[in-house]
Amino acid sequence: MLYIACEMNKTTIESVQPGRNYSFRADMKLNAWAFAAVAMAFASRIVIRHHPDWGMWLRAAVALSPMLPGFLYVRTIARWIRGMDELQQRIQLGACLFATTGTIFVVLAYNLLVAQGIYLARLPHGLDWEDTFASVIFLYILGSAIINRRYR
Amino acid sequence: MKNKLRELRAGREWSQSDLAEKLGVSRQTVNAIETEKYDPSLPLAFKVARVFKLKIEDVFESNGN
Repeated sequence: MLYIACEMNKTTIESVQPGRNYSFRADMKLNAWAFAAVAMAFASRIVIRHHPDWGMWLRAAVALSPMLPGFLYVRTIARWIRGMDELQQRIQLGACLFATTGTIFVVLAYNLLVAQGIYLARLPHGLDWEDTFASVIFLYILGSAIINRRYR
Repeated sequence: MKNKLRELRAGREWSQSDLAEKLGVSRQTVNAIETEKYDPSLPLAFKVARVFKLKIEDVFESNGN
């Protein structure tokens, strides 16, 4: 997932600023909050598993802790998109819309199947956040490719 | 919207990258405008006209006209 996030940034930097070389440091700066959110999600899961005796509010705070870096990541991405030229903004916003609406359809379709008692063998417990995030990333890349093709 | 961007750019012997740099946009944007796949915003259209020292209507033309 982190590899995909880096690849997304690499592709966009090269198309927005052709003269500018890909920079791993710039990549890390852009995606730092995403990495922090993923790390905190895993850490919070482990902490809660080892402290079932904690009160509800404390467990809720730990469980929701990845939301803060997640929010900061969204803010970083919004600033990054605002820094692009108008065509790239249109492409990125189109890709984001494609990814979010596509993911809503994926989740909806899965829930419709579950409601009918049809469980997918690989996902017996339903779609968790990793599956949803993977769907967003995959559909974002697909949407970017489709919309970019329109303007080539 | 039709435009004369390619002719104007060729007349000045600028590459798409040169024009993109003057406009502060990507080369892909210049190419998309030239091939009429993308209509620029009004501020960008004015900027294009300014770069070529022309009026906006000398560069862009509505399809309806």
